[in-house]
Amino acid sequence: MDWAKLVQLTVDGTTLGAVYALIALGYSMVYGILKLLNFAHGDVYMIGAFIGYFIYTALGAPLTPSVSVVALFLLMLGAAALGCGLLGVGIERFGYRPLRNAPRIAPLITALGLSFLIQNSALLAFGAGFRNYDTFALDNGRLFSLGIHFHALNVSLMRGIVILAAAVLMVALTGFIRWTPLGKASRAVAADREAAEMMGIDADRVIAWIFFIGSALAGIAGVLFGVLFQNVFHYMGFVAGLKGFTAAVVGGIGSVPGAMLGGLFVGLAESYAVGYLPQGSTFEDLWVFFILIAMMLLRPRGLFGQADVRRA
Amino acid sequence: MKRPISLSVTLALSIAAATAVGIDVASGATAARSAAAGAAASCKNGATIGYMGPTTGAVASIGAELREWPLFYVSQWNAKSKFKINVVEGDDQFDPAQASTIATQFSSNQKILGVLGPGSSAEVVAAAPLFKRAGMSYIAATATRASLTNGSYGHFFRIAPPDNIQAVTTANYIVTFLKAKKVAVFDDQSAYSAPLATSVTSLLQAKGVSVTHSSVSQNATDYSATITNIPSGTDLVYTPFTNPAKMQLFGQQMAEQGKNIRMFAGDSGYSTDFHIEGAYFSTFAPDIRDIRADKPVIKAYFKKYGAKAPLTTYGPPSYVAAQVLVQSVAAACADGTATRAEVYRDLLKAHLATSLLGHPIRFTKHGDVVGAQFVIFQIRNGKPVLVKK
Repeated sequence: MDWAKLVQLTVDGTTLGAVYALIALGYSMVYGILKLLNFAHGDVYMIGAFIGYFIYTALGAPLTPSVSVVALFLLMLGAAALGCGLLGVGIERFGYRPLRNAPRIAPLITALGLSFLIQNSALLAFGAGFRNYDTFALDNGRLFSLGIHFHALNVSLMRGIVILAAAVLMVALTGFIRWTPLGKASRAVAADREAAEMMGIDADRVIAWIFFIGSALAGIAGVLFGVLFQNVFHYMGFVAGLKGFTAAVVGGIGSVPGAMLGGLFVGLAESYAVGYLPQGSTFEDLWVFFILIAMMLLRPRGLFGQADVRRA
Repeated sequence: MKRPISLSVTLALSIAAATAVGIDVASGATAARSAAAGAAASCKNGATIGYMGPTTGAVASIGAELREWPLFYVSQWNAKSKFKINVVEGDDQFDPAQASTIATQFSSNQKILGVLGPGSSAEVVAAAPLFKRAGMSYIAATATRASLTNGSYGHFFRIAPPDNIQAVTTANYIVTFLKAKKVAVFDDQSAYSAPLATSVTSLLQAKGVSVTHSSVSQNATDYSATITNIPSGTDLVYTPFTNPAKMQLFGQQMAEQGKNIRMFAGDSGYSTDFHIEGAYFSTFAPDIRDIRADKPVIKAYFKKYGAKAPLTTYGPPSYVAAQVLVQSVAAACADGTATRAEVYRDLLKAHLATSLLGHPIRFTKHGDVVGAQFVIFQIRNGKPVLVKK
């Protein structure tokens, strides 16, 4: 057994999975509360990556940043979270709220339409070219040269930062949903919107906040993706959105811990498939979606999904 | 009560969509046959050509260059000539299905006398039956799959040399000059990359080099696990990807994992998005900035599209394709009308004594440029330097 390879693949898969998990959280939170598949979510992630990139370059990075690396990252993450959060609120207010009582196919088609709208607006606004964060050149390359380098095992500091940032956000989100009034209200709306409204909860306000938080997480995921995997382009939300959606379904769509675990599951599955299966890199996506199908057949509600409560 | 969307509704929508596409294709095919029958287009108010390429979609970055350079040539032509050329555009998104739809539209539009594009070999394969039936001549700037000029793709022409020439050039260079003994080859599963990687693999193996050949998805955004899998002792990695930014990431992630292995890329290596120090790449066109005669054209291009407009190896062949097609259409229109057959005839006779690419343009009977060659560059101090003509 090549342990270095196993650990390397685990780190690779965990980093990728952390990004998928952050995307999956938005899908899952929105589905949990509205039973809506927000296909525009992957494109919100793309916008987050662009916001981070523009802050990054505006502050002179990678070669001559005008602030410290820590401040730079915090500014990028903050701006992407705020920008994408507001975008999410806008999407909910103008795209989905008018269709709240429409047949379910209407918001679904709207979600697809919004996805193309955002994607092509980005093409129009930012151009078709790939933007490269080139964090390899930031801080004299220390973010990638520092870390654990032991025989064949190489875990860069940047990967550690991405995993840590994602973990902190997931813990914070779990605490937020469990203990804050808004978190409790969101759980109440998810369980039964009408009953929650009768108890005085402003469901529209709660839904708007859920969109804000889910989209902010997607924006942060976009920045984390950019600083680690470099390339930012208008089409990047499509595949990432699909993977995030797969993670949400595998974890049990509607479940926050499920989305986190689903993300890690998909990331690790991708990494191990490439590392250990014959022609693994060729069929990387096949394995991910094979897992999705297998999960749907064996456990349709996903790892943490709950059965629908049906009234007699 | 809200109900989930049923499978039957989905199926019904799918069948309706498929039927609509079928009707569209069928009607297009009928019109295409009538156009092929020899309907002449009037050239009184100029002539119309088609352009198809990936204006949007995953490779829109390459598409921007593929589109701007031929349109730039047409604008230059229209500024100088009384015989105006009108361009009808189609966005194939680098997707064979879209290419097929656009080929149907172009074929049924009897004003269109010839087509620039599609952008890649897969789209050529998809569009070929429709263009063949319509008698349409079409010139791809950069489709390099060798089999496209075997005579079975209708009136197909291309400016870039075929992959079999590239494969030989690349394999010879890797063995003779780089003296690699163990090579890892990765393709990106595209119609361009996969056959080229296979050809290079075969040629290297025939020369006694140990080769592993794998594929990565065009949609991949992280190559870490793939790189972890590169066999130890590998002394060169060959990555003829379609997208230079992805090759750049591949190179950067190799460095992240401490794998300081020489890298050899394909045509798209000529791009500011790819700057792995010391990497090599083979490409179908030279750097036209090094050709003195091209400087006025380059200056005019940047004036029109801005200083940041793309100029790699994709634009100039597209410009040349437009040059040849427009001149052939103009020749066919000399008597006031033109047919697609006349445009084809004039394309076969086309001869540019020199071109933006620095060499003459004349086609073989199956549409390849006579004597076209690949060149090899190495990135030194962040800039491509020609190492083999």
